[in-house]
Amino acid sequence: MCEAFREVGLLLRIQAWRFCGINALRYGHDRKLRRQALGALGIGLLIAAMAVGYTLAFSVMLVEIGAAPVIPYVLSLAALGISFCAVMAKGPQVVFEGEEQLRALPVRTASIVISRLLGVLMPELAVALLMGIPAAVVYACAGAGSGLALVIGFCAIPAIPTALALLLGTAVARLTVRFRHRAALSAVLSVVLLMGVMVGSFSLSFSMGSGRMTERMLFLLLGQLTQVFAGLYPPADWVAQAAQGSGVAIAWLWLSAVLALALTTAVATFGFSRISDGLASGGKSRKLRGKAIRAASPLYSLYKKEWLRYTSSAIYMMNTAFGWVLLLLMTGAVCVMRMEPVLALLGFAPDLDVMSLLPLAPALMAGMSSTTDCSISMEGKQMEIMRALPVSTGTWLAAKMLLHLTLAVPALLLCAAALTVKLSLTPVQAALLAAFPLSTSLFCGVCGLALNLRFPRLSWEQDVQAVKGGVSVLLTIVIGMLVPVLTGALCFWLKAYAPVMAAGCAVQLLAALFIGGRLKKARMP
Amino acid sequence: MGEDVLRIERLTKVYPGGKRAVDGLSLSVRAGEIYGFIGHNGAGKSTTIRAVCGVMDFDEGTICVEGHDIRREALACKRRMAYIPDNPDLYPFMTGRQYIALMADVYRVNQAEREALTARYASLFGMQDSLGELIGAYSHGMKQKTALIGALVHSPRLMVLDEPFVGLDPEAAFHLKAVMRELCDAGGAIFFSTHVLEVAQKLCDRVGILRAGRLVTEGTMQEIAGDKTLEEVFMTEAQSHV
Repeated sequence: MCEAFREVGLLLRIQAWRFCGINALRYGHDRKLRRQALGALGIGLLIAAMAVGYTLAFSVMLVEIGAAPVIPYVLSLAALGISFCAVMAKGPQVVFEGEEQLRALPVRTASIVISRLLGVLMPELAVALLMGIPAAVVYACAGAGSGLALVIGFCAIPAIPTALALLLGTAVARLTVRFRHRAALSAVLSVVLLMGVMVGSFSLSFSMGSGRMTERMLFLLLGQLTQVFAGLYPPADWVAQAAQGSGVAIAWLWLSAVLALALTTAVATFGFSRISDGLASGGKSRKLRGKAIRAASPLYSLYKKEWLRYTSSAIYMMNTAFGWVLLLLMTGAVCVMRMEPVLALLGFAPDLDVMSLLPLAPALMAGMSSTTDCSISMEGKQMEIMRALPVSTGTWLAAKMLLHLTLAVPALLLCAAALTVKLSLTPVQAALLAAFPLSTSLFCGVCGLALNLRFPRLSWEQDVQAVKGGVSVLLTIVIGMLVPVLTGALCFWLKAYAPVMAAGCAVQLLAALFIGGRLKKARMP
Repeated sequence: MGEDVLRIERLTKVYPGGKRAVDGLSLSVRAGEIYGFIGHNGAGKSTTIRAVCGVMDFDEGTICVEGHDIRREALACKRRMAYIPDNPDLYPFMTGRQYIALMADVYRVNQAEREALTARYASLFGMQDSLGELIGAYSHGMKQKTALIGALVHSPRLMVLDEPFVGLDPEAAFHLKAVMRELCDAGGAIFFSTHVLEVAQKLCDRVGILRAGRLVTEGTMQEIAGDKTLEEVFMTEAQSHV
């Protein structure tokens, strides 16, 4: 037993060395690398501070409206969603990574699995605590229950979605590995599964709730609200009970968390070699037909290469296409629903000029769905090929930008067209609904390229490190969120919706042109 | 031999931390010539090669390919050369055929020529049945062969190869030597590094021995070895600098 703990400890140490490039930072002499790592650390701290600030503000708001008992439920659901999505995307890759060097060592397979599972769980736990501790402070100060008990209960929350997402993610990866477009299929299946889990949870909540759910249910009594949340995710109810001092609830929570992790460990240990080899080999070897490939311009050929890279990485696709899928789903939902309940759900007053503010919603999606912010990092070890080719930086970056626009333009235009028809918008509103998100997408795409060129992360072993771990990704998302938020704030402040939006379009287009011009003269990393 | 295809003058590269990987290196490779670059591990061979190909910046000196400076006219230089790294990390998500098509598109090779050259080299290296598969499923040798076909498909004037024979089967290595000679006979030039001294001795028109970033010996086999083998010369050079 002692030996097993020692093995897990040793293996965790390897993961810790790799984590955020800490070891490279400690022993490396490259000043640029150090600056980048420190920059990443700074941004990480900034995001952590934002998460803490947001949770604090949200919790205070709930207390102010007299909904303090809802805090454990809402936070549990948020932690559930974050853990589930993150682990579904990266978990199978991390846990079942081949790494023959490691597998050749005299260590138990269970130790490898446990150390990797803990490696996946730790960041989720950190995120949960970042949200849980400020909320617990507010919760305790409001006299709603015990803050300490809430934190203890909250620590167990990420374990269950982590275990479930790992098993589901592995099943998806194993199922799709034998297909030609396995990354695309994997991404689609993951999104479908995620939606399935959400819809399933809602259905569960309907059946557990007080009969048929109505549009006004969310605004009824607090008891009904908590009932809905409890139905969505039963452990959230245990967290709430734990915060009220229920030892049984804490025991249930921790027992279910440990059981979920133990079950996942057992399954992963038992099938480790088969799953790992299966994921690495790509299933049965299959010869692809060799079609004659016609000559094309360098730009088009590089654009095709970008497409192939994009569709070969499930995590890249999921990370960037999810926003567009969500946008189209939301558009579809608006098209089939009546607008009044939607506005009520969003908490807007009926007399507010929502139609003029509408472009901010797709712009927010556009700002957070850039493929360019990690597209240079995705070159990875193959960057050397591009450096050696007679291709200008402008052409190389243009191919990446084209991929981004190929995804963004149809989704945004479709959204604008559908909403214009459904909501009978005026020509100005319709034009802004198309132009503002498009300019945001263009601006964020160019910013993503510029930032990724400044902070490339080329030395990665798994694509998730490039897609999720880059400084440029974080910064681009922050910019993508800030643009619509600031525009919205200006609209409110100046009480001039259309002119502010139009000015926003112009500023973004000019900025994109300016940055794009600078990028043409830049050097490859 | 003809005019200089590659000219390196006083090349110096210092890595972060102060390590002087290449120190005032000067050499030239002429048209029709195979130039072998040999040296210990860490002698600066790969650094020199990467600087020549424009994939790594350097601190001092100049590198010219057919009169074009790699720093000022990088694209003009690169259009004239092909580079095969020691460990070709090709795009794993592409098939071999797609990779070669990408190379042909970038170098603007017309349809007829690319098809003829791809067919010829694929057959020569035994890759005709494998080019439709994903590169991610290739062995090291197959990646090396694919990189070679991608490099040869645009008939470069200068071919720069870093340890090109590592991982190649004997038949492919034999054909590669023949192709290298053929390219030189057509007026091109080859600049390559190797640890296999027998290959360098038999294949190269001129050889340069690099030690601690400096060129310690250079010349034709006759000039630097005389009646000795290249291995003996290399060991003597190594001993004299201990």
